[in-house]
Amino acid sequence: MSILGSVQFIFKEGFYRFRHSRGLSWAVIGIITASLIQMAIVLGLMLFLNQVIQSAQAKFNWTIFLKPHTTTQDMTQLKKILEYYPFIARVKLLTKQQALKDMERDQAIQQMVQALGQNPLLNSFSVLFTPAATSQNLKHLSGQLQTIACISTINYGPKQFNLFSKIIRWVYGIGIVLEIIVFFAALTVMSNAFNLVLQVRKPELQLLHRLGAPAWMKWGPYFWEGIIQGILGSALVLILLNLIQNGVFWFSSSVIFPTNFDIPTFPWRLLDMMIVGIGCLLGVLGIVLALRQKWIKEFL
Amino acid sequence: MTIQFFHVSRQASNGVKILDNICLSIKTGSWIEIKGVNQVGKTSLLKMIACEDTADSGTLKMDQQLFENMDRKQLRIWKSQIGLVFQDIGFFPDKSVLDNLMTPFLIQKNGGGIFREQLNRALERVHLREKMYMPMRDLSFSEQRLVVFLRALFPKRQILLLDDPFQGIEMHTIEVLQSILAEQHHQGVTIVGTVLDDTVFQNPHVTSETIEWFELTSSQIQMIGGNPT
Repeated sequence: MSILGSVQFIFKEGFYRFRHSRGLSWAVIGIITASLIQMAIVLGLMLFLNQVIQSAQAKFNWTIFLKPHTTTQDMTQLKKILEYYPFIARVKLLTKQQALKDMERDQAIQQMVQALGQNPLLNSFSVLFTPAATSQNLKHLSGQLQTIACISTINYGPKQFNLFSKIIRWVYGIGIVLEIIVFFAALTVMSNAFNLVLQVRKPELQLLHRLGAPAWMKWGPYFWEGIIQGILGSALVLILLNLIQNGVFWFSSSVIFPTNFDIPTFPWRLLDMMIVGIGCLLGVLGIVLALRQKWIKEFL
Repeated sequence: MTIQFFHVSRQASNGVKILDNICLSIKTGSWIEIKGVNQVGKTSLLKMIACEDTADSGTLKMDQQLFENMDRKQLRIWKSQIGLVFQDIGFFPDKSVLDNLMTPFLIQKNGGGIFREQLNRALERVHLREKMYMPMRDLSFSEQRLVVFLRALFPKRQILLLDDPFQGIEMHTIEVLQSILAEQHHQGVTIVGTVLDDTVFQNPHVTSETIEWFELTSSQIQMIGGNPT
C-alpha cells in the first residue's frame, strides 16, 4: 500500500471509529470543550490585560519638565517636534507661573513658596496620546526626548500607572500558571477518557494484532480520531467565543468603555488560533498518553 | 517453509498436560488434518504455529529458525502470512462484510488484483455477494463464520490454520469451501486443520490422497492416514 493509501486508511478508520463510538467521542469532545473554555477564559483575560496595559499606557499623560533656563524659542521648537508625531493627540505648555497658580490654593505650598521667596517650579509640557500609540512608539519617543538638551525629566504618568502595571504583571504570571495547571488537568482527564475508548476497542486491536497488522494501522486511526475530537472541541469553543466577542463589542461600545479602552483591537484571531492549537494538542497528547499503557504496547 | 515441532510439551494452568512430547514436521504445501476429541490439544497446537501460544518445553522451528528467537517485526510478518480460522477469532462487527474481507489486503499491502477477483467469485459461490455492504452484526452466525473463513483464504497466504472451520456452516457451503481449499492447496498453500471427525471431508474435491490424517489422543499425535510423501 502506498503512503497515500496508508493516509487514506488512517483518515477513513479515524472517522469510522469516531462515528461508531458516538457516546464516548462526544464525552471526549465535551472534556476538550470544557477544558478549552477554562483555558480561553484565562488566555482571554491575559490578552485583554495586555491590551489594557498598552491602552492605559497611552491614556496617562506624560509630563515633560524643562530645564530652568529654557528659552521661549526652544519651547516653541520642542512643541513643534512633539506635534509632529502622529500618535500624539495634544501638547500643552504649562508655564511655571500657571503651575504655581494651580498650587496656590493649597495653603501649605503657599507658605513654602513665601519662605523660598521665588517660584521653584519648572515649565513643562503635558502630552496626551492617541489610542494608536503603542508601547513601542512610546519607548521610541522616550529615547528620542532623552537626547534633547532642554528637557530636564519626563514623568511617564501617575504612580497609579506603575502600580497598575505591577498588578497586571502579577495577574499575568498567575494566568500562565493557571493555564499550565488546566492544560495538564485536561490532559489527564483526556487520556483517561481515551483509555476507556481503547478498552472498549480492545477486541478490534487484538484482532488486528492476530492478523499481523503493522503498528501504524493500529495507532494511526486513534491518532487521527484524537485530532478530530480536538478540532471539534475547539470549534465549539470558537462558536462560543464568537458569541462572546459580539456581546463584548456591543456591551463595551455602548455601556462600559464608550471611548477610553480599545476593545475592538482585542486579538480575537490570535485567541482563536491558540484555542484550535491547544485543542488539537490536547487530543493528540491525550491519545499518545493512552497508547503508552502496557497492555496496548503488547499489541503495537 | 517447513514447520517442525521437537518434543513439544504444554501444560494447562490447572496442571493438566495438553501436549506431551509432540514431534511433528509440516512440509511446505502439505495438507494436514488433526482429528481428536474435545480438550485434547488440537487448538493449542495450531495456536503455537500462529505464535499465539508458547510451549513449556521443546522447540518450534520455521525453516530452521526458532520461533522464540523471532523479533516483533518477524512475528508480525509471520502472522500476516497465516490465514486463521479459529473458534475465538473475531471480526469487526460494525464494519461491512467487504471491509472485513479487505482488512488482510490492507495488511499485506495488496491492492486486490487477481485475489480480489477470486474473492468476488467465492462470495458469489457462497451467496454472500449481495450482502457485501451489510454490517457483520446483521449476518447470521453461519454467514459470519463464512466471512471469517473467506478472510483467511484471500489474499493467498502461505499457511492456513483451520480450527474446526466448518462448525456452523451448511453442508453445500462446506463443499464450496473445500473446493477453494483444494485449489489453494494445489497452488502450494500449506493447510493445517483440526476436526472432530472426518465425515465433512467426504466429498469429491478432497480425497484421502490429498490429506495427511493425524489423530491426537491423550496428548500424543500419530499419523492415521493419507500419503505423507
